[in-house]
Amino acid sequence: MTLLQMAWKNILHNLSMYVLYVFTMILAIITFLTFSVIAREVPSEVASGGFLDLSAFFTGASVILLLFITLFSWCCHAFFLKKRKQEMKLYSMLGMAKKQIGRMLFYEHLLLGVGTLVIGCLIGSALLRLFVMLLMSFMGYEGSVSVSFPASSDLGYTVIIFLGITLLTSVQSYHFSYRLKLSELFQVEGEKVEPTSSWLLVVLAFLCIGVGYRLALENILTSHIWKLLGLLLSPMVIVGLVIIGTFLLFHTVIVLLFKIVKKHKATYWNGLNMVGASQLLHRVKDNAVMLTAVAIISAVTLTVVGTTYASYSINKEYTAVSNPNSMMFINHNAQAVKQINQLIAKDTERPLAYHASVQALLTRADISTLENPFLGQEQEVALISQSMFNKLTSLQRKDEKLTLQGREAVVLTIDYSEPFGANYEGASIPLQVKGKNVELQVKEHIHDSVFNSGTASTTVVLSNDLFHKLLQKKKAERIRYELYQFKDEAHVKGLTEEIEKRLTDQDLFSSYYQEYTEGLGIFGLLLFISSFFGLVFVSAVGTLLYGKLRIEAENNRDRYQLLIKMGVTKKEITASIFRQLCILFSLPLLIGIVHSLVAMMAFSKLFTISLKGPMTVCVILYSGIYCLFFIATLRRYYKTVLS
Amino acid sequence: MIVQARNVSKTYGSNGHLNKALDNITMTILEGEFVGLMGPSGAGKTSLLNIFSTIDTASSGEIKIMGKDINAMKEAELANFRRHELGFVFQDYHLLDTLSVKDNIVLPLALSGVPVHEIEKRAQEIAHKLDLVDVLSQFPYQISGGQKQRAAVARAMIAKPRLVLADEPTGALDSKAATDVLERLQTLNQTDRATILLVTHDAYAASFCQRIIFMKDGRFDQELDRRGRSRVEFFHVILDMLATLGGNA
Repeated sequence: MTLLQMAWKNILHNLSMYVLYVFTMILAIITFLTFSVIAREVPSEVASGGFLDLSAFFTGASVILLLFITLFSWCCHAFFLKKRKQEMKLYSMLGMAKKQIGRMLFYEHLLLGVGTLVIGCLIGSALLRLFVMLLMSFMGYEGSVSVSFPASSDLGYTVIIFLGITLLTSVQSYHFSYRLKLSELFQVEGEKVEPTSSWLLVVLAFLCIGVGYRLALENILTSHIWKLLGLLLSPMVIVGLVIIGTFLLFHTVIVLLFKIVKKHKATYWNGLNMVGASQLLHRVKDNAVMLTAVAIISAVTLTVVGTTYASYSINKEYTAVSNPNSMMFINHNAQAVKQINQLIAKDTERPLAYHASVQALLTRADISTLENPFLGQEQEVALISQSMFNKLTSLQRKDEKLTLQGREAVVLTIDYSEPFGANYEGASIPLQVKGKNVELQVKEHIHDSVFNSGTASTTVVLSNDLFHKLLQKKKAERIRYELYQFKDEAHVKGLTEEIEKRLTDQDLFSSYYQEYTEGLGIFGLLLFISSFFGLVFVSAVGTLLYGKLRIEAENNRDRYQLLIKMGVTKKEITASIFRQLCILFSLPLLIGIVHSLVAMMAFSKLFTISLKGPMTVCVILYSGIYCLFFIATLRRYYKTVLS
Repeated sequence: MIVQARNVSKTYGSNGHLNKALDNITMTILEGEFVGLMGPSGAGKTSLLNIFSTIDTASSGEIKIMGKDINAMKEAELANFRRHELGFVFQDYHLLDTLSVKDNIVLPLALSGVPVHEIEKRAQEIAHKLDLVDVLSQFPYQISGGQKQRAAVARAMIAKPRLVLADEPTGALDSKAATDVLERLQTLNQTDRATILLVTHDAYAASFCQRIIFMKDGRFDQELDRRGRSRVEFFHVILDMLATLGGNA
């Protein structure tokens, strides 16, 4: 039998060990292939009028994926090799040279990698069209899709990259054979010293996580620490603290908790509790690094997928808030406006709900008293009269009606981000109307507007008297806004394009339809990428846990056989294993979920979006898939221990 | 009468390739007896022990332990039976390495739901008898082979089972540690009236028994009774017997 044949037999023999790893690698290959094809084939204009560089986006995503998958592959091979250490030593004992063992392992992992690559490329090619269609539907793109099969360059690229990873792990296996020590052959694997811990480390664990959370939830604008560390360093410090804290948590807190259980003899000396608890105690510390990795990867996945899904799902609502009118622009050219009105009038399929022509004033306001570093000292504001505001709110079916006197004013802004936005309420703001200052008293700050934010951002409503007084001034910068509302604003594609053609950039054209489809493009794309990432990540996490516990099950086989001899029923053993695996799987998941919830809280503060719904969906989906790996591991464990 | 086996046979393998491990064995063990089971490899010692342990079943014949027909019992019943009536000692100790010596010893009581104060009391009792008081809080990897096997004996005895099955308990020990373990088994047999079935290759270990059954090719070959002889005398009788049987027991 040649070494190659032996390698092949070994793969078949260990197939059940490799199957989840292969599954995850196939997912990664499919993802990589899909990203590579989409980056090249799908025209950029599909995504939001070309302002987003699709290919750079996918390249970045691919690099992150590759880094992750290389690390994952390395870890998995370390498991595989560890598991087969005894077997390799036996080969060595029987007279196989280390070089031969190394070559056999090298072939084995090379075959495995190449096989995975071929299957991955085949499945990826077959499903490519489906994925592209999925992306298009996420992005709300209605055109037809021409991509049906990956080009040879995409396949070639994928093959080269993954062959690289395969070679790396094959060399890792080859090198492994040279580290075998024959003298260890008949030694029992690792004597298990009872882990110890100290309360000081527990305090440190909670301190790290607590400080990390506290920092994440600080108001970015007012926080001294954020100011001190800067916007770039602060998130890194937070992530670092949370990772260290999580590791310490697994390393110490759990050890101490089990010690407490151990002291409570009535619980500890009850049935299989002490067997299960003592095993967990040894296991949790051994596995602290892996549990930390699982918790952190889960947290990252949930946060990323949750944020993108939330952004995607609130796109419509968000667009409606920032575009209270279907269309709006500044009237600089009466002729163009006339043409546009004719155009709209002719299009009977898209009836108007209203058209308003609004007289306003543009001016600069001194907002230095607000002390907002993101807005600066001065701001351009649009002024309108109270009666115009009331007229628009009734057109837009909003309830607000204003009555203002003298220098009272109301500020209208649409805020995307709470910490970055300013609060004008109660402030007194000097308006500069051509050399003359008019001091306004801000009576109220409404976080909503009657104007589209793309055309007029900060709007100030004045009393009718004051507005008309300012309007009379010779040097006042008068401006006219045109506002349109269609009855069905989601289906005005052609008309919108026609209208935009007749306007210039200075007219600051904004439309609900455009903004909505742009948002759908960006967030759909992000959702697509993050869903693939999420799948690869959850699968990797599940595979790592499965691999680790599988080795453990084999090491624990004897002890469960002993317990059966001592009169423990299989039912009691399965119940004990179930409890242990439940704890091992749920702890990192729970900690991951808590981390991600805190991250989401920080994000929702930053972007004033509610993430509850999307986050719940993500947590349920993630936990569901994670649960499948739990079931697979559990079944494998039972089978190993009881047969 | 603790064990009563009648015409017990055990065959392995499928049609055509039958391998008869036990052939028509009939034996009894009385309460408080210390019985040795000797024989060369493949004689059927382990098969018989597994059947008495209720982890394997006989192909034919009748086995009653404590008057109960173990062939008729279901799995859960058997587990319960093993838990309460049987104790096991193995060649390589089989202590759980993640548990302290004390936890290892009290495991059978914990499994049976014995209250904590009773567990404490019995743990102290058995630890004194087997000279384990000083190592109770240690872990298996911290103690010697002899101590490990004494801990395993303590675990087998703590629940006061009606029958202790010891499979080559001295196989992995040096002669001093082996003597120590055997003497303690003997003491437990005499003072606590524990019934012990000892499977061994070793004539020295067997000489601690009251009665020895020699097996060959799945059958009972000979039987020796100590009958008031000193241990040393009995040892020589066993050696003579082994010599006549072909020496290779």
